[in-house]
Amino acid sequence: MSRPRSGGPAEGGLRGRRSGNDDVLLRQVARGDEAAFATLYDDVADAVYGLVLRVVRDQAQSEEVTQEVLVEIWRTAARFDPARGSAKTWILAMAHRRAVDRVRTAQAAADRDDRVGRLHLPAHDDVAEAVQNRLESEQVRRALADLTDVQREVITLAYYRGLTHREVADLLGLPLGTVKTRLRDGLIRIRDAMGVQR
Amino acid sequence: VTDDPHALTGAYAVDALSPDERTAFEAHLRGCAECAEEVLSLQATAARLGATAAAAPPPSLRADVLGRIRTVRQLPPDRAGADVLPSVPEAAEPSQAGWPGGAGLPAILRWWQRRWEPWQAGLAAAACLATVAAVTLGVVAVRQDHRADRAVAAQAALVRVLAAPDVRVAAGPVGTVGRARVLVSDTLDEGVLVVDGLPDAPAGRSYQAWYVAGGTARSAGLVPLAASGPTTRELDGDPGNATTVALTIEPAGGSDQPTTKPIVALSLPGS
Repeated sequence: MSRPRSGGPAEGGLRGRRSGNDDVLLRQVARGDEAAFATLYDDVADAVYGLVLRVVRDQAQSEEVTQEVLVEIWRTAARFDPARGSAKTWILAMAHRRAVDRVRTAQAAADRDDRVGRLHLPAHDDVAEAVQNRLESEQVRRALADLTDVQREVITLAYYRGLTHREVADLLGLPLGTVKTRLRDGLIRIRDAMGVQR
Repeated sequence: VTDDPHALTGAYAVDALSPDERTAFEAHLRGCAECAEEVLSLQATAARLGATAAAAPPPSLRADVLGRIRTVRQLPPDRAGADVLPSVPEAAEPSQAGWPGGAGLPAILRWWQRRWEPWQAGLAAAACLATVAAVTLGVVAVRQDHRADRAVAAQAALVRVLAAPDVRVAAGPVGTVGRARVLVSDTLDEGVLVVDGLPDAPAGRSYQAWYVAGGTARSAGLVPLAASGPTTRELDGDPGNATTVALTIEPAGGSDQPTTKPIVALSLPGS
């Protein structure tokens, strides 16, 4: 029993109705099963779109990226390796990577400073608010609240805003080494608080 | 400054590294089981953060996506353990020679027959049957053997190129018992080399394929021989304006330019 059971709505965003089933669906998808893919779509589209929207922050672009991610799931389903984690982790890692790629390439170097500048808002407030609005996120909310301010800020800026660790360091006026360390120990703290395995 | 690569697991798990840093860290991960394990757990943690953002996309997206996958060819399984993350996406391509994902042997044959003009079918019907058998066997073996995964990818490429409307084929003997055959398609920008009957490369040497155009050679990759039977190798790079595909014996690991006389040079017919 190495994987946390994803039970019911607690599995925020991935409808937990048939938890663990996404792994099975993904194997069927890998064999070209379009019906299984449709079911998988219904299971994960909200999670993918929501995460992409959170990072990209533009509805039309988020729809594009979401579509790319879902087609990519279809295309590369055979490469999913359950030994490396759940289907959910694989899918959301792919969605995050694509969303981050989109914000980084869409922003020419010229307006990058401007982007970082604009983000000099209390970046985690709206995140925290959205998080609070979801019962299933209670555990995540508590884990985030339990971090130090610096840990919470670097994780929020890197993960939900798609900034590189260098940008986070510039933005917060912290040494790069501190940002690396806080990203790591902050995530470890959340992981341990939530009992996340892989 | 922390130069310790172990410190980058968190930044990696939330995609906060630059492309160069990412590549370097992935190289480190392949040799550091401890980091790899930590990365997996932190990626799972990040996914939990990500799932809290869930929001419903416009309903029309569903039909768009389900429509689009019908034209997208699926990839065969990757070499196990090659990537820590999902493979870096290439542009999804419309499947004009759609790989029949998961189809059994009869379906592949039907697909094949539909796709083939009689002249093309005559060209390599035997190769086709051998390919189908190899693909089927390859799919069975794929979970046990990394080499089989590469073989399956090469077989898939072979079928794609064979089915391309502009396939060009050249064949020739290698020594007294060996044979080599190359197939290229300019529209697919792909080439596949099939060799049979070659002796193992001498110790410390590798077979290497080359695209040759106007007296200059570009490496098309190493050609490690299959354990038994013919070797099918998806060539690296695109054929471009190559007029010849050559095979040389190079120091192990390959060379930037050929350092020996080709053991075979196959002239591609004009397109």
